[in-house]
Amino acid sequence: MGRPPDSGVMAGRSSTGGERVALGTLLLLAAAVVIVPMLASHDPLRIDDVLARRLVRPFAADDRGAWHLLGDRFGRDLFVRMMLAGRLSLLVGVVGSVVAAVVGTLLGAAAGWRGGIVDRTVTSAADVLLALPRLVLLLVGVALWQPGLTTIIVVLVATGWMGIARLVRAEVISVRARPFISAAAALGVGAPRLLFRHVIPNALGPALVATTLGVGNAILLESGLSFLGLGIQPPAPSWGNMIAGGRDLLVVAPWVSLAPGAALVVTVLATTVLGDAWRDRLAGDRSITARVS
Amino acid sequence: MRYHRVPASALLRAIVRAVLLYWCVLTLTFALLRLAPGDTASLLVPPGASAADVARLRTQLGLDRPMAVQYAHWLGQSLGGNMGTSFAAQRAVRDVIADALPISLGLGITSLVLSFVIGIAVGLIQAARRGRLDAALTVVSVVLVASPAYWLGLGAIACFTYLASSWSLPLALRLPAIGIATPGADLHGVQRFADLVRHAILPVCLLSAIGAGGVARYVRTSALDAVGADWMRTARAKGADALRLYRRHLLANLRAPLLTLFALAVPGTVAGSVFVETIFAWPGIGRLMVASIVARDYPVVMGCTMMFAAMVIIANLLAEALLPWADPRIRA
Repeated sequence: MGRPPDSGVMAGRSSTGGERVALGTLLLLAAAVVIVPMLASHDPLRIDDVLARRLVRPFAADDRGAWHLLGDRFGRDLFVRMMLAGRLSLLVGVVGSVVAAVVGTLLGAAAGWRGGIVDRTVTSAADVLLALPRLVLLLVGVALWQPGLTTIIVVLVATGWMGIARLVRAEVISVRARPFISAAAALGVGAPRLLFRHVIPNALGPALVATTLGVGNAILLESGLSFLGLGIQPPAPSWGNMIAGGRDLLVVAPWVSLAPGAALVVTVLATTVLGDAWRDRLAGDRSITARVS
Repeated sequence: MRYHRVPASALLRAIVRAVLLYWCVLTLTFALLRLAPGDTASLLVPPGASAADVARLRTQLGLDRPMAVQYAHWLGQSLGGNMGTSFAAQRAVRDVIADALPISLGLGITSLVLSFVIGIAVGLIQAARRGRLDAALTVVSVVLVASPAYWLGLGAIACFTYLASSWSLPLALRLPAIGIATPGADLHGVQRFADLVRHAILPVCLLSAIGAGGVARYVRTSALDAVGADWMRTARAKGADALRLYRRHLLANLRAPLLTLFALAVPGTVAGSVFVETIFAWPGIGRLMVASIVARDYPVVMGCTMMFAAMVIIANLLAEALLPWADPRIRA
């Protein structure tokens, strides 16, 4: 084979129903979190007449005639706040796992390509970080630094690159041994070009799957920290701190905790289904490639 | 069936690696404390301490000495089990953790065992009986895995504590949501144990259900892969009945991957227990860690971190040591 085979996550094989639904859900959600807060008639962070407007029933209007899909304890609109929180959650999830994936890909590629001391350093760093549950590392991070958006993203990246680095390292080692690499090297292709043009693209498929699955994981971790009061700080809404805010209203107004939790579960489910579907498709492509060659 | 003994050299190597790993974790916690913004001594004194207190602690902890000396001191102290003094409790961190550890271990081990027993059974049933039941169980397990433990916990409390009592359901279904014992009750022997069990039902069921969801998904996929394999066809052709087929042939082949899955499940259980202990006010290590972060009780935070790392490393070591038993093909 003269040309590296397509890494092929997006190539060939039609998408499954679940995959289309998951992708549609995520796109719809992304659109909603951007648009809904812009259309809101009242500031979702402002608290004014609490006693008159607290816990407006779902689908009811408050005393000033503002219609609420869901009301919260301070007379704010829970749905708009949920969408605002979704901006943060999606941002943290996507940025956290994509940056982690880039870092992991570079470190894994360096480890697999150079071998020796680089490989040993990267591998053992990954082993050490994997010996600590990710949540515990995140907790230590927010304990020592200020809780907030930046801290969370930095710690998510610092604790999220290992899986992808291991994947990419293994792929690079196996790709490096294949004939088209020695052929390219014999043609005079330099090491950086060889690595970035021929080796890494071959390792991107599994990395993309892991990143997709990582988004859901990162969103869960962020919301967990916020639930514990160690992540996004109120009044800024996050699905986690909104669920925590409804803890004592479980019986009186269950929707205050229920709705943000449902949004969270739907988002994480969609990324999981999407990641799984892409993995299956990748596995299918792999076996076809294996059979052809 | 004949099981092979674990080769001593492999076990020794695994132990050495585990010790090295733990040493790296200790180094990491040391580095993190030093990397944190602000003066380490001021992190390690109780809030509101005077400048003189900070200076005294700095000398006492040797923070004015060279970094290498500090590091050696930290290592020696940590390995000797001396992790400093908790500001909040005014007791040795070691004692605070020793109080919380049995609770976390009890919760974690019970849930892990249950999640594997239930998960394996459900996964095998799914693989054996495809169709509607399989589809329903798949949805349940995927949703369980995607749901945050604390949200499910709140739902369970809403149903089994609040709603159950307002609908005056039988006492067996009205479960306590807080703590590990009925406050004020002076119970002994069997009654005390029964009280603990009642308090444990919600947290343990929750953690096991989440774990079982993941295990079931894994077992189902592996079992479906195996059903089409040649050795399964051979076993079937030889006239093995379904029970023997699954127990003797399929499970025997799943033993090694399940052992690996067990080691991988430990960090997840730790994370889940942090939330479950917080929600249900169980005085375990997870809750201790969260409370200590809020109280800025750094010695306890670091102590809990080392404890969690030790659990994961020991679980990995255990899995590695048992692997040759699980799969006799893997030797040395």
